[in-house]
Amino acid sequence: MLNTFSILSLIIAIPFLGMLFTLFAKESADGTTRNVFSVAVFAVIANIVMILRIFMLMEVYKPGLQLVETYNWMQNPNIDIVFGVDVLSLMLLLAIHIAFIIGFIGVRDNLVHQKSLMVWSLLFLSMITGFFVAADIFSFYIFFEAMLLPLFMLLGMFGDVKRQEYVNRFLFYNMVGAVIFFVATVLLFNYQHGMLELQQLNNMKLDSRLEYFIWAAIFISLLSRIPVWPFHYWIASVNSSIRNPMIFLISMILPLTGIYGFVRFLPKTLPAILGNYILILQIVGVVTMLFIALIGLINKDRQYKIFAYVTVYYIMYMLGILTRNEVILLNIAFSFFSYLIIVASMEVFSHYIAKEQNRLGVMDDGLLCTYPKISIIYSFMTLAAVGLPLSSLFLNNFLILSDLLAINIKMGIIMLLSLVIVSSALLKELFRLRDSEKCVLTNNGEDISRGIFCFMLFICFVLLMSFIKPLWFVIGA
Amino acid sequence: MIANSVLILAIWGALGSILASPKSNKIVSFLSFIITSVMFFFLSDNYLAGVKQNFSFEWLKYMSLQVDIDLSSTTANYAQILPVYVISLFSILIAIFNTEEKRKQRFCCLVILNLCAVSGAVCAINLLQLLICSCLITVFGFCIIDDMDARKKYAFYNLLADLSLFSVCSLTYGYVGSLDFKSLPMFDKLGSHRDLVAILLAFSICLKIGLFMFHNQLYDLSVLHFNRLSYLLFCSTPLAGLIILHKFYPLTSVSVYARPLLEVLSILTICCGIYSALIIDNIKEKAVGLAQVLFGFGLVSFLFLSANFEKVENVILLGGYLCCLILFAIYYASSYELNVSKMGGFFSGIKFGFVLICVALFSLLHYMMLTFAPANYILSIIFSVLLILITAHIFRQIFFGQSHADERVLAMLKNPAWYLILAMVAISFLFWQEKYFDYSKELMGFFILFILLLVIYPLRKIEPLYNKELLQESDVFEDVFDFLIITPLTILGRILWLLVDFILIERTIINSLSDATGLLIRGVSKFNIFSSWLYLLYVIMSFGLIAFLGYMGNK
Repeated sequence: MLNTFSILSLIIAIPFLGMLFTLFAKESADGTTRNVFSVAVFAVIANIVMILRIFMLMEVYKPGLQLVETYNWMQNPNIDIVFGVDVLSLMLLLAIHIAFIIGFIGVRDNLVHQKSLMVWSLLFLSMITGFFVAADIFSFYIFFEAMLLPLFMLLGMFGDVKRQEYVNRFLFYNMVGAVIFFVATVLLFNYQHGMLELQQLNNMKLDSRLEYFIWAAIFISLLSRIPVWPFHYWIASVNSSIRNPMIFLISMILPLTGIYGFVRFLPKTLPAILGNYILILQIVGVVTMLFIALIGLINKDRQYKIFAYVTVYYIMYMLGILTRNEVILLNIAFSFFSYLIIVASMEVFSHYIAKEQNRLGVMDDGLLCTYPKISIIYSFMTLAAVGLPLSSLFLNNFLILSDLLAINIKMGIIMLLSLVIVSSALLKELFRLRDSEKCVLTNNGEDISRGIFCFMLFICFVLLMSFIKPLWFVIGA
Repeated sequence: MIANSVLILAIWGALGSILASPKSNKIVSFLSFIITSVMFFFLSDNYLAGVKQNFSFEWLKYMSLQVDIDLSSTTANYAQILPVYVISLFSILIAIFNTEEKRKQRFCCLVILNLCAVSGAVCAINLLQLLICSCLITVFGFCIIDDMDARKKYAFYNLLADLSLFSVCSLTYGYVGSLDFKSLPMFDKLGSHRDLVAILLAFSICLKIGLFMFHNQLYDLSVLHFNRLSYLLFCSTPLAGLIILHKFYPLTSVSVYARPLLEVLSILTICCGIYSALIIDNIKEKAVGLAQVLFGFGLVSFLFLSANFEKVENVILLGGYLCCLILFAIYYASSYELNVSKMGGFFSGIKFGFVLICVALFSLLHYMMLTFAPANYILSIIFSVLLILITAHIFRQIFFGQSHADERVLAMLKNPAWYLILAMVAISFLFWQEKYFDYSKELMGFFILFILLLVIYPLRKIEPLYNKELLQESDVFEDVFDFLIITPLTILGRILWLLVDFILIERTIINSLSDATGLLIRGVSKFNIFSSWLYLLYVIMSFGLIAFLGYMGNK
């Protein structure tokens, strides 16, 4: 081991330790799982503090990976594990952690398998943290695959009656991706005769046949995580079958790993061999965007609408990354920050509304009139989601789209059209929930507590600040 | 100075709307009025004294994006902002004293916040500032609307408008590489897809202003309180549309389609406004019709004759608001009677009100002549005659002839409230600020025409149309949009879901894979049985494979 104490390893370890503590935390005498919940939340908050500390330690305007840590894992074959972060990965990590806190709020009162939910969620968080700090191909691959286990377990535990079917789809798509990626990793390792840092991939010259195979393998495996046609189907099935905000959140974060993979793997100048395939991918991408947006518009399930929104944005980001434009890349990172928080909040409150609807046994039309606090937060998040200047999404999307439109106008227009459709779907849903004419007047409605409301107001403030100054929490940035 | 006023008003407006409570309803509204008045007097003093002050705040300074917030106090900016202040002040005043307005504090604070956003839009020297302010105006307008159905349509129309504007700004920035409005003319040289940009811009302007075909959103606002309706018609998104047109004017010429499109739609808007003002029974919808007419006049004179934008804006905003106040005064006098068909013979009950309304109308005609006549005399006469024709027709139905009013309404007829009188007098006074008698002959002619129209009542034959339910309730364009856009999209969505997700992926790919796996397992299980012959076969096959690979390797 080259470094004895390293902050990047620590942020992987904290959720893992949190998971262990959660595993051994005792349930309260009355059967509630408040201890388990508190331990999990504490672990995530501790990690957020560490991430903010890392922001302080690094030079945010410096390009490339920073705070690099290297561990020698094996001598023969020579495999080193390398960790490192840049602003992009750190922003994503911070957003994921905040999204997790929001997700935990959504499952605070969950009584079914609460301990398992917390344990697997924290394991997922640990793995995805490792994934975002991984700087060599081996650790990247390990974390890329390891994060599937918690989701697999959660799907099995919390899925509905058709869970077996969904788990099979999940396994099928992800296993295909995993196997192909593994082969590509081994080939690259063999070609390089040793350890391979992700940054080196940009400069590597490969034999043309090998290059073709490796890029194809990497593309397919990364695409299997992103809801591009036909891979969208497993994600759509999972998202519409699970009524647990935390699991929805985790399955919603999973495509981010595919997107991030493209950021890390694609060289600055795309190999000529990929040219035609990129065009095909662009066409498939925009068609999927439009297709999912339209289905989101007609589908009455609120969760599907959120899924449609998530998908359209993911594909837009993916297509942005494929342009290999530095400005787009940076803006995607900042945009993701707001996007993840917004989607997490919308999902949690959407679930809360559904729960109240079931409890009261009423239709959800006009339900928000009875819940003023939820109404404020849900409305804010929806308006921010549709692109009003309430979060960094507005400015970053402006820059992303201005570049994408300049690069390929047809693609840009279909993207815009999809954004309009998916935003309309969200707005339509908001109006249905706030329809005062169909207002459900009840005295039994339980709005969120004042504490949660204040916390969510703070989250709204964070989003607003991300619009005013994206790196406002970094001193001197 | 504009910067200071925006800052102070923004803080006050934000605090007021967050801390809104029934207890502080009146006091906060009153304080809002005082603060806005003070700001208005400072700004108008500076305007009259010709004070100029630069204010630029460096907001974002990144490699890819540099944005400054500009709130400079220039004569042009003052001239554009002050009419909005006037309308805002009277809207707040009416909200304070009118008993129909329940959530006074919230409304007043939203008006103040909207005023800040409008100031930001007027002062904008870059695309992003205008885009952000336009979105903020949309949001504040949305909050002012307190009816869910009206909100829905407003939100969808403005979402489309803002996203179109967003696309225009993105495309322009992508090609020109600068956010500055001064760089817009460069788009003609550097940019491509000019038609698309110009049409998107025209689309955004049409949606914002509510030009012909996109006017339904404005008519839906007629369910709101008259004060809110008047405010929204002239200080919210339609005003944002005007500002966008003014700022992006160079872009309308990059394509051969945009300006003719706007010109044609402006003329059609006038026709549509005249139709509504004459045919529609609902007095609030008549107000919307009159607003459309004035917007149409302003746009036609700006687009065809390049009339002075600040003056055109004054005619549209103050003139339109004055027309709304006139109808509001009648509405108030008749104890909130909504249908003009249920009025008539009001003159005996509200003589003073009628005289005041006529004075207000002729003040507007005077100012219209001052604005439009220097650009084109004939057109200004046509506009004035059209306005006289409409107003005389409406006034004839309301003030003269046989009364169709309820007995209760007739018994309770009263002159307009003092705040409405004050507002009408103040705005009329503003119209007489310059050149008193330039068009005195024309005004005399208009007066004679007005009297003649009242007496002759030439359009009496269209009065029975008030009873035609089809005309009163029809929403043609909503049905057209529904038929041409919403329904096909919905059907397409369903077909795609059924065809691609369900039949292709679920029933074909996944089921085929599942069946293939089953077949494979069944096939393998048949071979995998205890049999010496099969072992022998496998061994021979393995040797064969090794031999083949060896041969291929040597080759």
